[in-house]
Amino acid sequence: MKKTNTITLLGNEAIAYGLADGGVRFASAYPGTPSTEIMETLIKKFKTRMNADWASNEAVAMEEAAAAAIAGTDSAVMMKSVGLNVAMDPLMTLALMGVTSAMVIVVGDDPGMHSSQNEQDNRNISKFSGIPMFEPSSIQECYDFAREAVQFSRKFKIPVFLRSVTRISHEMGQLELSPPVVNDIEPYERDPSRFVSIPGNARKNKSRMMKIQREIDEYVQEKKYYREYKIGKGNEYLVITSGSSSTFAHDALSYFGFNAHVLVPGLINPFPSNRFVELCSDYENVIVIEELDPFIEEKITILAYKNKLNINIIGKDQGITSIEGEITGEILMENLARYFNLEHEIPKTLTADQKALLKIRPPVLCPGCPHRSSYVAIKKALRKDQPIYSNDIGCYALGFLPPHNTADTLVAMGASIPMATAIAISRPEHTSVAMIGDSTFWHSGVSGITNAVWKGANLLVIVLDNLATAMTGDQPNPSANKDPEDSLVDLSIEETCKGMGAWVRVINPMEYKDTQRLIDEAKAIKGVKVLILREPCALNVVKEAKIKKVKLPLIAINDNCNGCKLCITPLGCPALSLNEDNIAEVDPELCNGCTFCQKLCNRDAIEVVSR
Amino acid sequence: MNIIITGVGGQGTVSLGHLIGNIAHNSGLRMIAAETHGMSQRGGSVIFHLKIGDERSPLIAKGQADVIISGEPMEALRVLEFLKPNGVVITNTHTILSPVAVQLGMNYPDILDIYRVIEEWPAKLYTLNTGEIIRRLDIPRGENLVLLGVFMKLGIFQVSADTVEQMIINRWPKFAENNLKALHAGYDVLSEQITN
Ligand code: SF4
Ligand code: SF4
Repeated sequence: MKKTNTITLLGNEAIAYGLADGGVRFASAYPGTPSTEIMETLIKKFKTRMNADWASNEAVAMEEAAAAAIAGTDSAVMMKSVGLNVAMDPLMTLALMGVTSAMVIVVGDDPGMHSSQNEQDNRNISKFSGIPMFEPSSIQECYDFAREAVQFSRKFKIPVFLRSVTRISHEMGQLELSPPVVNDIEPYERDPSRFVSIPGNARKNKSRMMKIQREIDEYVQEKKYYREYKIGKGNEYLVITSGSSSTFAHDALSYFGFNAHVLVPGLINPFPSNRFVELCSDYENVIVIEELDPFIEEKITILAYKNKLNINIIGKDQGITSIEGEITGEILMENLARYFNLEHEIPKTLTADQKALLKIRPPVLCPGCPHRSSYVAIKKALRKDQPIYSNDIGCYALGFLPPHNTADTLVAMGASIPMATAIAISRPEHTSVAMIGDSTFWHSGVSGITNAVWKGANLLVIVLDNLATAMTGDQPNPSANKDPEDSLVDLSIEETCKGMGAWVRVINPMEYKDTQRLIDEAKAIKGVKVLILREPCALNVVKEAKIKKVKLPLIAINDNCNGCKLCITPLGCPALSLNEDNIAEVDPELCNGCTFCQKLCNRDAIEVVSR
Repeated sequence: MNIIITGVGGQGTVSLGHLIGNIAHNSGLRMIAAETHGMSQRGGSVIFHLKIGDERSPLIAKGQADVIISGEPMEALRVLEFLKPNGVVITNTHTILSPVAVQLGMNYPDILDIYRVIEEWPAKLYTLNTGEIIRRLDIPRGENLVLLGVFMKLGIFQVSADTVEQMIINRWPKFAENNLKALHAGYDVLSEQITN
């Protein structure tokens, strides 16, 4: 039967519990899938134990956590894979100067790119920066390693990484909690010769850090930050695997009944080199099972050369795993079967004819989403202006899909404005449009406006302001605070842009005609024009209506409808379609009652009714 | 036992997955689960993997699921490759075509073709219109609990009905009566389909 002290949590929740129980007292983060729920859990459950709040971007979050830890407060910072790029500048210097208490950097990688613009393997950043990295492979390890990372960081006074991946962060499983630790709070002590990184100090820091890294390397060899187990007799193969990959390795190797000794480093950098070399005296064939880059494989290749090990490494080149995408059970089983000539029935697949029954179902903007209305108005107003749309990261990136097709490029958080600036300068025959959300504006849009105004560029910046960080599940941002109880202060996008010298207007994009008129007005003006299209995220409109117990309106189609699709084609609302009689039809379950479709109908066929 | 729960974003697929996962946990079973969906918006395909037993990886491998529970027929077909031969598929019959598919001029396939492919997999197929059942019961929501009821009544999920009902009551105390109605309606649907 079930042990009474086990609970179920998501990986990200378990990480949050581990950080809190490990003694963290200051936490900062910028939301990003798959890391978002860590900060959400800290805010929801542990606000009494620590200062935990969102930051305006990842570099800011990193710098906050660093300062807290330099001043003696155990801290943590969370971000997604690509968020780490934003925070690289402070990170690389922190890696040399260290901190005075604990600092844990949690990074959520996204193999398979479920919700990211690239597939970077941040284990490489651990090697690049010299910052040690833990990698949990289960919900229990999410908790245990987060706790351990705090203690490890305290011991060596350096930042420590905890790397998760989508599969682990969003996995739900069982774990047992342990009593929280209470770390001593040290008084603040000045040490400018270490923490003021001018070249002379930086050189000293580097020598110091090289020494600490040698100490750490020795320490981890003894401390055994790894697990080992045997499958079958365990005498034929040595298998090295870690993190999420190790779970798929466990299942596939057990399924085939390999005789394998499995080594799972929980700390992947520094690597348990001594143990590995020791084990190699008993094994000739070493299988490496790891997702994305050959990180472990390259490490053991070097170890094999330096230690003159007589081993065969079976990994990426042998097709055991790929550098691309996520590991899944069936792919790993198939690869192992192919290389080792194992009997294995390839799972049955649907035939092409059967698959033809499946119609695409990508994520789409919600019914009633203000971005949809914005896009309809923008496209209509700019239809003759050869627009080039530099889009950005948020729900609105779905404008890439038909019917809107309002994205020519999308590269990185805040990239829309600088890219649109260069388009404005280099291709003046086109109308250059940047589209950016409110949270992304504060994240890294402000510097883009600074640059564009400075250069006197002629571009239209559309701020799709839905008063939320919607894509990651409605977090606050500087102009969209959620909780009137907390101490966060409201900022103004319009005042900020005006202050920088841009032409600025604010309008509700549900006002279809007025929005077009303002875009026309903006077109006639030279310079940086910022048009803020402000209307709350439809999910929040629905939520608010529920709380206030008011019914949202509903639309109904009357006999005037002739099936012209003027409401359906440009809008693409999931709630609207043409029925079998070629007449527009609304799905009342899906319709959020935004009434925008009514504005597109020129036969008065759409009526607003009550529910 | 391996269970795939699927549906269209907005149907509460992940919540149903978490509920069944917690039922397993409260019944003393070892479980592990994972959700796969892209961005958090509505309308995309959502797949939830739930494994009960000793495996460590959170995803079910193709050909290894015992049951598929689906909120939409085409989504049941989309995950069919996960199902073991002779596994069970429970699906809501209400069809949803993505607005993007509509834009691209695609039509919803003949639903009978979908059923035929599922049955020829081979699989035991149970179909029901959860929306209609909820309307008949005159309760505002609970479509997923109807699906859960069908699944429970199959008798392959070795947990007690009392545990499940108690959990539903504890989770949403204010809606306990309606939720239990929905669950029981699911039990009845299965009894009817078996006798038919
Ligand atoms: S979550 Fe909000 S902003 Fe995102 S698509 Fe839905 S309505 Fe639009
Ligand atoms: S009112 Fe029209 S556009 Fe708005 S959600 Fe309903 S059907 Fe869609």
